[in-house]
Amino acid sequence: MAHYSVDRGKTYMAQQQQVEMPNINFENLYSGFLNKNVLENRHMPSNSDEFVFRRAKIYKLNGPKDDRIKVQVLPELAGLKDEEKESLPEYPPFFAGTFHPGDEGDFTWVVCTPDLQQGYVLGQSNIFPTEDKYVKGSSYNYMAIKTFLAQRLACPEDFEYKDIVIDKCVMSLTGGICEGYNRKTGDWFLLNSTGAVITVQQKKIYMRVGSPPIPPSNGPTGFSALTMTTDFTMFKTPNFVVQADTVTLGHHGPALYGLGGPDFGTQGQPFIPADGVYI
Amino acid sequence: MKKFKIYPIINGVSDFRDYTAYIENIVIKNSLENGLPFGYIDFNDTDGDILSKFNNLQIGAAVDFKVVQDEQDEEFVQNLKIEDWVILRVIAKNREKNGNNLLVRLIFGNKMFLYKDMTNHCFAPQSNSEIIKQVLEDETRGCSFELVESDYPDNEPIKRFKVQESDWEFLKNKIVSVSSYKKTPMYLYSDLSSKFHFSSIATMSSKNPNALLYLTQNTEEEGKALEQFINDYNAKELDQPIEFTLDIGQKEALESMNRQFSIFDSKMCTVFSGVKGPMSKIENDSSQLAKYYPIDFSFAATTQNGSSIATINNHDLNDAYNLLNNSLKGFDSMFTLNIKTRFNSELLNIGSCIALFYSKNHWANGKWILTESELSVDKMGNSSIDLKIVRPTFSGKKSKTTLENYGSLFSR
Repeated sequence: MAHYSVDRGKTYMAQQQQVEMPNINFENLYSGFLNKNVLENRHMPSNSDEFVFRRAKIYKLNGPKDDRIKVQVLPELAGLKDEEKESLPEYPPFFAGTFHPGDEGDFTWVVCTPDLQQGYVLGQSNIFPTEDKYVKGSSYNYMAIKTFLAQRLACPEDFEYKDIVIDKCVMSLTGGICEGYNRKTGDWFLLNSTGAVITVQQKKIYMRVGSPPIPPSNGPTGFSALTMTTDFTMFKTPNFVVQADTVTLGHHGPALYGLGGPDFGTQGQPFIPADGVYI
Repeated sequence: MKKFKIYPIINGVSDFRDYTAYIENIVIKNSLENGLPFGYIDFNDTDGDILSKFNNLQIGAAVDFKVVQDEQDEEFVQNLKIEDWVILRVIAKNREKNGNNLLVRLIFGNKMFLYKDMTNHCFAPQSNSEIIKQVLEDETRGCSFELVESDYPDNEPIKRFKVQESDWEFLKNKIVSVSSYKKTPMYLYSDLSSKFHFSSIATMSSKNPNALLYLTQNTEEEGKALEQFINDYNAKELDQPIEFTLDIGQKEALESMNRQFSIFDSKMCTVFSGVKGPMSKIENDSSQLAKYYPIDFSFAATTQNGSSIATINNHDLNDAYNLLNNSLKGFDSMFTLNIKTRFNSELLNIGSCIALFYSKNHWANGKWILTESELSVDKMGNSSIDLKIVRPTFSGKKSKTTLENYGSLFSR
């Protein structure tokens, strides 16, 4: 693919200087304009069938009935006139049944032919951390995830950095998600930045919505949680409401009785069975 | 027989008698495949001052030519209708160890060589010929060009992207390459006056010939046949060629005969495969021969599974078919006739149709297409033109052709 006009010119001149008079090869003169010079050979030919990886800036989502994304592939399409941007390439998601949208201006990976005629959107692109100050920003932040789980008493002992596979971890000003698993144990984690978490581990299933007070002594619970082990299940919640026709608490037979109903004596209240609740 | 001298007009300096004595060689070349004419002039610069005669010669200075009659040096005959040609490069080489004896070469060509538009563009869906017209007429490069003739290509309108490349690279690599007209290859080329044409061999063949070449005329009978031929084609008669070479069955032509293809359609996830063979219309009139190829029938039969192969992936299906069709340019030159003849400006315009008279009732008689042209003028002022004329097929009437045993030849 042609690259940059000034350098192209230099290479063209270099080509020409190799040719001595009087036997100037005129096809060489031509090739300086048509064929690929040294600089251009760094790229796939501009009309190649093969896909290349490119970063692209999201210009517009086509909308709920069309998952293609209109993208400005860079640097190829840099410097476009605004009126031409409606004619930018529109690429579908790479895998059927997936969709990786973004906001206008977000960067996404695409694979496309060098002529941009065909391509697919892969998903949000990462930076390349060429300077130390960017390294932290490019990490999913293992320690924060570990602390997050520990605060919820949901961090297994073998939560080692080298074993944790992160499938997705994104964070924005309005929220974030982290999904991953332990490749050794099969423990699976899904965390939301609001404090919600689901984790399925070898010995425990834990679900929580809301954040606990930090430290816990700071106040009442501000969350609901379910902890399940093989011999223990605990709900922890400020309010517990069951909407059911019948509720069975064990299978011991006696009915649960409560107070209420019309008076039939002068002292105290009558006991009546609590319909549908069994123990 | 009239003889001509061809004089350059460089940087507006038209008083050519001042420097024509210095001219050693002039070459002007153009071809359908390359599309842009170019050439060079060699000067024997014994005093080392030839460049000073051209009024501050510089890269980008204008170049033109005038043709005068040899015997009457000042009588202007014609110019070559050259427009927008410029100096591209100047090279000087010393001929002696010391002194100013130089060989100076001025390389010139179409302005498109020098003036480029490197800006990126997204083109809304439209025909390929409309994109070509739009690009040529755009003045971002510093000058504009005109598309004076265009077939309407087969392609469906889709978006196109000009990215990180010159306008000419974009047109050649991404537009012309996926263009075909009635399933035959298309060519984008400039004539001498920098007017552009986007056309197929079939369309070029449909025009009236603007020149006529004859190879033999030895007998009175042949002379009468030639006369009839000239009347039939109403073309301007030219000299008899000095040399000619007929070349049938070049490698590219045979490989293009039956190209096996596999195209993956990424829209429907389907593979389209088959063999793309030459198209030919069989004449209904039994007195007419079909269009025949000079290929042994049994050999041709062995190529039915493919004489070459093309795999096309990640293209719009329509583009892929057009790419396949466009890749078969070799077949356009199944018959190639290389001719050396005397100068005539008609023979510098590639893409034109030439009527060729070989001999009475010969199968080679008829229209041929001028695909390459090279004008050479030596230091004596003698000029000659090397031509390449082609045709993909031949045909004729049974009663009026020397073609015999055509039943053994390949036809489609």
